[in-house]
Amino acid sequence: MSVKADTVRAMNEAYAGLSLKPARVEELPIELNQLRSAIEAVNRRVDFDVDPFDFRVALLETAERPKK
Amino acid sequence: MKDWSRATLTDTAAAIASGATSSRDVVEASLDRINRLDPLLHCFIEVDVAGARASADVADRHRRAGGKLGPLHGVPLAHKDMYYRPDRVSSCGSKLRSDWKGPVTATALDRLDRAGAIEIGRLVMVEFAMGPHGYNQNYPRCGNPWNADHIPCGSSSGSGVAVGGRMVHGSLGSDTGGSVRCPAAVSGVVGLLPTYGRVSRRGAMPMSFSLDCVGPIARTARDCARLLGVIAGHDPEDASSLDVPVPDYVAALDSEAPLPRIGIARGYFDVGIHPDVQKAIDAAVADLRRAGFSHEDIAVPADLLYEVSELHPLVMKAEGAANHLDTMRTRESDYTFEVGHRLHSGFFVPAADYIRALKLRGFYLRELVKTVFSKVDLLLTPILSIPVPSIDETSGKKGKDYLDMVVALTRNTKVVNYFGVPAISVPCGFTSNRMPVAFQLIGRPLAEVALLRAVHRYQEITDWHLKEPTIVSQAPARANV
Repeated sequence: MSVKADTVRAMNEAYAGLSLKPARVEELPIELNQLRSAIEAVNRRVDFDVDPFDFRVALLETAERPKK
Repeated sequence: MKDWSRATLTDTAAAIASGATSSRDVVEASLDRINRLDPLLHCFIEVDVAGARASADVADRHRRAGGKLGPLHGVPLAHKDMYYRPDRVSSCGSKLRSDWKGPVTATALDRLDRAGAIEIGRLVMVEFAMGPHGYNQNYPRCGNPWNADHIPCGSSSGSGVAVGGRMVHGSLGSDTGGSVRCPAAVSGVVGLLPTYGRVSRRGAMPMSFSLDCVGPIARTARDCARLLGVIAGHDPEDASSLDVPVPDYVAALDSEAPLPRIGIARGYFDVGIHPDVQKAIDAAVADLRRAGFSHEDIAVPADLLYEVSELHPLVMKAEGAANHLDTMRTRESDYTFEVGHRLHSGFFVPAADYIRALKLRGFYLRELVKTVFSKVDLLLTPILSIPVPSIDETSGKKGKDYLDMVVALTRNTKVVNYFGVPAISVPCGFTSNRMPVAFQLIGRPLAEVALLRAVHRYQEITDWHLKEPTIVSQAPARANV
């Protein structure tokens, strides 16, 4: 799987609606493939039963406790 | 006769409170220094001369009448131009908001007002807080006070420069990937990233709501403690605000409790470190040992950190795109070329990718705490692993070269925002070209007391925080009687 300029062009027409110049459409897949690779690389870590609000639970669960 | 613009916030506030000086004299010293240095450094968008003088006179009358004084009574501050007041413009560094006024007063500003602070002006920032080098094509180029040919870092560039240049005693920045810590580091002052949710973001321009934090920049840990004590605390108007008690950060500085244990990060953070930076960090570790801290090397979970460093931009760009969709469709030509380009990719991130990146935050935070903060209280890293780059070295880059520049400036700071933990940037020396070096201390959530205590102790036995850029000593403000 990889993002290509055609992908950007199609998504832009269908969703984003930006005025992208052709050279920018050709350039964007470099960055988009970095972002896709980042999440694909950690797919194994994603827990079906966890939602994004778990972060707030973790923040308080791991917080510094006042020293006695 | 004393030049109050060169005194710390804490000393200045104490002198005003005792009547040793007046708020008006302090404000005049700041205005005078701004007059002399801002034409060289370009860190102010607007200076409210009349408003600052009037507020100072009110503050002085209030003191003389025996009124109750807040911890910042009569002290001049200035902030990144993204904190709203309904009665004045908040440009957010953009032409799109050149005459825009926010709907509410930012909670952080409201708390500073109640503490007696005087807002003396609005500071330059990178457009919509989206850029690490610190300059903005919409304004004259903001210069580093140590050498104006080098970057001030961003996005809170004006905040770092105004404090480093001794134009104000403290400032608010905002930090999504390092935007408080990096400008503080390269201007030779202290910058604090609080725990996610510790300081309200109501009335502050959003960049990426999962990562944004409001934080102070000042000259010392004690000054930052005073500012944080004022702005921290629950705000029911901010859904991300933590409803937990606020410690007395200033009192905690002199606590007799055992000093926090410090881990020296080995792996990820020290990759590619420049010899000059390494030398300054090694010296800082030796000074911390001399100050009584115990320390040990900690092998950080580098694989996890690399993963987090790649997930951070995914979250930031998706959220940034959501904020800017309407204006990017209709007025992209009013964005600077660079920021318009930075926003593009976020519009093409699949929702499932973005949500998975958020689902993982709790996992990564728990892993960080398990692998690092079960062994030590604080983790020490460089802020920048390289000497402060020149403007030439960072400008005109495109495509992959641009992304590589962003990574070089933010790799050690942005991961901290993804974890949501607090961190502080501390001046600790200079590279061979006389540009500041800083280390970063990172703590577990709500460890601001430990961070501030450690830096305060370090600053008791070192004097890096007292060093002033040459431009300050060459352009001294008029002494105040």
